[in-house]
Amino acid sequence: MPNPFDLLESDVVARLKAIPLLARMPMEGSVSGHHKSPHRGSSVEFAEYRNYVPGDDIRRLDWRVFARTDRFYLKEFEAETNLRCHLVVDGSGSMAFAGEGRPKFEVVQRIAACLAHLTIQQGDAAGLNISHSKDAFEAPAKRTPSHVSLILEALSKASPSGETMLTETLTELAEKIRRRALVVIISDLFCDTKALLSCCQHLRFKKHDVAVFHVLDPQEISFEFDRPIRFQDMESSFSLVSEPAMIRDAYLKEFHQYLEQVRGGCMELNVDYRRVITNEPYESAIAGFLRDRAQSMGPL
Amino acid sequence: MFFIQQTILLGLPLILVPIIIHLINRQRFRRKQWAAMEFILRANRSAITQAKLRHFLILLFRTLAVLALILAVSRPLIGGWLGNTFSGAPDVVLMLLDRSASMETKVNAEGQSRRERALNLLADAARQFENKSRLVLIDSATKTAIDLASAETLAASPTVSATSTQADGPGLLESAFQWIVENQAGNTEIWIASDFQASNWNADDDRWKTIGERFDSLPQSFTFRTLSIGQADSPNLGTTLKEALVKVTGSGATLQVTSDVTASEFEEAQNYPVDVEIDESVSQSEIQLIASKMRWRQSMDLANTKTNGWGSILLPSDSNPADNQAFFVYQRGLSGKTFIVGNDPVETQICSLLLNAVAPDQDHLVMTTAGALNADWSDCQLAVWMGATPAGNVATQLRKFITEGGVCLFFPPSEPDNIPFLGSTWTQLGVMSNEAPMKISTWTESEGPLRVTAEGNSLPLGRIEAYEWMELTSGGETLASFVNEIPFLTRAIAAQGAAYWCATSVAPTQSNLADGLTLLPMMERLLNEAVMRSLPRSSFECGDPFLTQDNIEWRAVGRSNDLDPTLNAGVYTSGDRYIAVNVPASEIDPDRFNASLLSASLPSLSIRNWEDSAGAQANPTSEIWRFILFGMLAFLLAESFLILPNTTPAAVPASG
Repeated sequence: MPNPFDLLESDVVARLKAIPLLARMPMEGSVSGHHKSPHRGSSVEFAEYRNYVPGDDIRRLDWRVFARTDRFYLKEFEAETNLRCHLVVDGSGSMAFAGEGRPKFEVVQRIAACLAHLTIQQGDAAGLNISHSKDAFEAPAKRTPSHVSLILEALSKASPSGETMLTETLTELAEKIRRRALVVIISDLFCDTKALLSCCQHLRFKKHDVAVFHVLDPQEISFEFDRPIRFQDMESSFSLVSEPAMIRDAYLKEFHQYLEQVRGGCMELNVDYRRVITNEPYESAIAGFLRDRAQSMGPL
Repeated sequence: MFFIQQTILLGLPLILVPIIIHLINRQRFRRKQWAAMEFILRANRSAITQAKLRHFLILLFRTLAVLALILAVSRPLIGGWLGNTFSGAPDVVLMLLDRSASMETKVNAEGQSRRERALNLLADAARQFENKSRLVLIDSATKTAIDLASAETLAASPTVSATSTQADGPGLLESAFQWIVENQAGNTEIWIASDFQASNWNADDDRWKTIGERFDSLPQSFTFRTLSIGQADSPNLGTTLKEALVKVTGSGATLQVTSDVTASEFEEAQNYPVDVEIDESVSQSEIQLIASKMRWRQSMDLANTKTNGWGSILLPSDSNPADNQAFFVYQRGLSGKTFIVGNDPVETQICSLLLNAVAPDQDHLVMTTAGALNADWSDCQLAVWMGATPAGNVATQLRKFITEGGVCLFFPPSEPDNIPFLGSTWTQLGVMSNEAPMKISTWTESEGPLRVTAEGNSLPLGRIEAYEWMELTSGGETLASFVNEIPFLTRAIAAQGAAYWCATSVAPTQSNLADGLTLLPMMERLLNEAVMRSLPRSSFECGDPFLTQDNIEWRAVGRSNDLDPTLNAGVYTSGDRYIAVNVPASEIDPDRFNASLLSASLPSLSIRNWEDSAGAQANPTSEIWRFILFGMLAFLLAESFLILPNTTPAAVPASG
């Protein structure tokens, strides 16, 4: 059995740890942290004034405003909490595909491991859900350092096979997590696009910050073959003999249409969409993901 | 549609090669685990019709390209309206030029000959085709095909100069056919430039039918155009040599030259000057022409020391200079012996008397058939055999005598012996009463021992009466026949010599030959023939196969050294031997073969007179391999266009 920590590339982690993983929207954590909370709290950052209503703590009245206006106002401050990051990894058979780049599942493993490590390292909680038709895995979001080991071990043990259960996993997850969290989906998204977007919408409805790492092999995008090929489906026993040169145009058309559909759907739902090509460094995708979030929250 | 290279069509199954390769390729697929299967299924669903159509078109174009290649190589010809559409210049213009002696007849005041006129007309006509068609010349003298770079080079071609030959019209067409077959020519126009002399274009020649069938058997279309030159004749006088005979007399020798003089037009008797040249010494003489064709004989004394030499008879210049001069070579023959072999003293005595009357200076030895075996045949020139057909050693000796140049006259034995000798056998005795003897009805007067006299008088064969005769089964040529068509005199040529069989004896009980009216001149001619046959042959007509022998190198005497005896008349020598080569007698014949009769001789072929050249072909066929080749290229281009990979690069979405 390979060492689970091999999934973490130390140089990649070293470069990425300088950029914090921030939520794009208020999170509901259990402890104070670096992330905005939907609730008012006791931080130093002023939030708003509001009228006093009976029952409010009179210690929070702003007496100066009362002296000026002869009315009771409460001065409120922002609350900051920690982040719960749920990593959803697709363990279906299609993730075992290895074309011109690294195997897709290896890239998925490394992205998930890296994000889990970064999240827990910055004091937030990370959880893992491996979507699998038989051996599904679920680890709740925790912020203990030992949880990284658990996640890495689960990732390294996972083996892609069977039909995709991604939408089922996401639906289940949306129902399970009650507090606002960051849900990161790492998959090739070879499933029903409408169902997938529906799941994303469900998560968004639950006020979760949703991010998608769409992992693809270059061969799947370019579809360049010269001879007739019997294509064997990786999630079933179905196979088909076809001449790629003949269907390439139609394939590319369908595939690009699908990619646009996924990207468009994600943008519409305010889902952070990242595309990862397996022959390119996954670090770039993670760095972009982190940087964009940090920039959206203000200067680093 | 016809194909010139029909055997190439056996390669037609090759059009299946693209289909077979396609099927094999389909079986040679590789396996690939694939994640995005859904998109392949969708692409297959949407592209299946288009892909199948594209596949079908690619296969179709590949198959058509192979088909077009095979068709182009097999060189198809099409006719009908398609032929009209594609017809342009013919693929080949084959010019057949008559170079016979009669083509040297002047046709205009500038002194242009028929041949030169024909060359000009051919060059003018060929000029419009020189960049489109292959120009080929075949001449009647050499029957050699020469490719012409342009119409201008026609006049400079080595095979267009004047010759003394006779043209063989059917042979010329056979040469054209042979060239077409060997060179697999396509659509061909055959231009025949000739004066269409009847003797050259014999309408009764058996080869016409074969020629027509041969051209019909070819898939190409042929258009024959006849360029008839100089049909309107100007007056011409021509001469041909008959013989040059040296007669030894007591005081010396006399050369007797006999020639035929023919006038194309004769209205009244007229004298013509004649230059007679003997051994480079020219003397003047005169000929009085009293008929359109007459025989002229000139005797000249020879010096005692002169054994051989040469000369010519030259008529005055006229429209055709080629037939004005007749060359001859003379040589003094050896005086040999005559053997009269027979067991009947009456018959042998009659023959002896006759021969002594003809040639009193020669020895005429009489011997029995038994004595012939021991006789010395080495210096014998003529043998008269009267008795049973020789057999055994005598037969062998006699056969040797004949084949080495001797002449033998056989008279019948008393009884038919059925013994073959040189292909002839005495078979049956015929008897008629003295009151109703057998008469001779037909005989050959043009040549042979029964020919007309120098003055043109016939021998009195009609006076011959035969009471007994012997039927003869002969493999030779019949020179005279009785009224019941039984041969009277036959001849068989055996190598250098000749044998004659006379069906009735000289015995007065069997015929009246002994009166000598016919037998005397016959004996004289046989003696002359024997002398001539003892000498090497010295007179030839241009085109004689003997002249084409490679082992003898002939050199022209008294004229340009580059003359060729196969093409030019003249006197030639090789070592001590002289030969005279003359224009064939048939070339002086003024009769013309109407060019339109060529259509009758070749009814299935399209033959047009030159004047019709502006007319379109009735049903032209054209070679279309160029168009098919273009079609093949178009198919290959279309195929390559279809198999080109999509040049629009797939928009690879960037990661991140």
